[in-house]
Amino acid sequence: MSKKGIFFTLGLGMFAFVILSLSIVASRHFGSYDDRFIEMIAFNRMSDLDMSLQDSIRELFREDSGISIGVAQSQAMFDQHLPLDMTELNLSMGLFNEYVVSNDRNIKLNLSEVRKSLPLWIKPSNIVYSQNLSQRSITIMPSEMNIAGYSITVNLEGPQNITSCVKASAAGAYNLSIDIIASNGTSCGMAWSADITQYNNISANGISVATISGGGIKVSTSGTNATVSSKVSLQGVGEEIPTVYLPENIIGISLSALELYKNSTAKLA
Amino acid sequence: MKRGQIFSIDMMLAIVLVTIVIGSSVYFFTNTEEDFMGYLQMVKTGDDITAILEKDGTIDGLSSIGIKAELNALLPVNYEMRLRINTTAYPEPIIIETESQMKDKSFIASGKRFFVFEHDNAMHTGSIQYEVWPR
Repeated sequence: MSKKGIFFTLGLGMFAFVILSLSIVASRHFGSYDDRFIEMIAFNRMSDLDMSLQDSIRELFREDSGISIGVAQSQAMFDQHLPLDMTELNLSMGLFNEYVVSNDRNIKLNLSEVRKSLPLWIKPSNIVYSQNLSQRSITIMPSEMNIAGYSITVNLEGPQNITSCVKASAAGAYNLSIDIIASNGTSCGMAWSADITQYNNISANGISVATISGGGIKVSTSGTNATVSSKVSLQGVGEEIPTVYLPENIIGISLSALELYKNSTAKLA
Repeated sequence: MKRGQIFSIDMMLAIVLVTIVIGSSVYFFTNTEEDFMGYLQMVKTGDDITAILEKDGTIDGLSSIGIKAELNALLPVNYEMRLRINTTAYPEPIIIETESQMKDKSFIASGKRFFVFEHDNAMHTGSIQYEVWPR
């Protein structure tokens, strides 16, 4: 009988211990749930704010950059005037930056690189399409040799005729097509299998399109105004449609009280 | 009373006690989770509505009447909402609300969006701050 009493007491004690443990677990769970909820709300707010900043920057780019971007299967296309006038974009980006930072001290926008050379990143290939305003040029530069070829068409805005046409080519395995077209339809250009790591060049009427070391290509003008259409064919991306972004980390949001930080950029196409 | 009867009553009491403990725990957690999801839903509702107002061009007109009409059409019946729109186009903020009084001690979801828009042939920047609370 005394043994039964001991077992009964032990059983009751274990039952009480289980109930107590469950209560502690439940209490801790509830506490962490509360913290997680606050984080979840904060993260949602941060994400929505970030999306609105990305949308705004994309809108400013579309309105004021003077560059139109297109993407297709393993290709990225850019159209722009050369030289590019970035006055409008610089002004609107500057005002936007000023407004946002003065309205929300948790946000930092790093638009200096954008306002200087407007680098556009083709992902996933990491190819940069950028401007050099002082040299009146456009450069397309891959970070590795993942280019299948370039197709560059330059439509001259001033001259009626092609007055000079200089060609230099190095044979290889990449598709290269360059055309400089005057307003009367005459042109200077060619399409060939080139070695884009070597020097290739087509020049006419003050416009020069030349390959540069590292597999890049540069379109520059010494004064003639033109419209430049560039098509970059990518290698090693299969049937993937590339995306074009502004440089990484141009948007920074920090909620230091909650130790939440987010860096992002704007997708343009 | 026989020992068997005492054992049965004791067992029934134990079952009732355990059921009450487990039942109240489940009730407590379910309700808490529903509240949290409801709060999150309020935040998402606020952001979705401000995003729609911005994307469909309603905000660009900066007309209080037009924005309020669209807000009333979009806002679920169980919520109230207040918008404060600041822009570089006008020095004064535009305040639009479906109800001026907030309920005491109720959860208020709030957030902010930035936007750009064309007004008088120039690009302007603005921000919308929203507050959503249950009706």
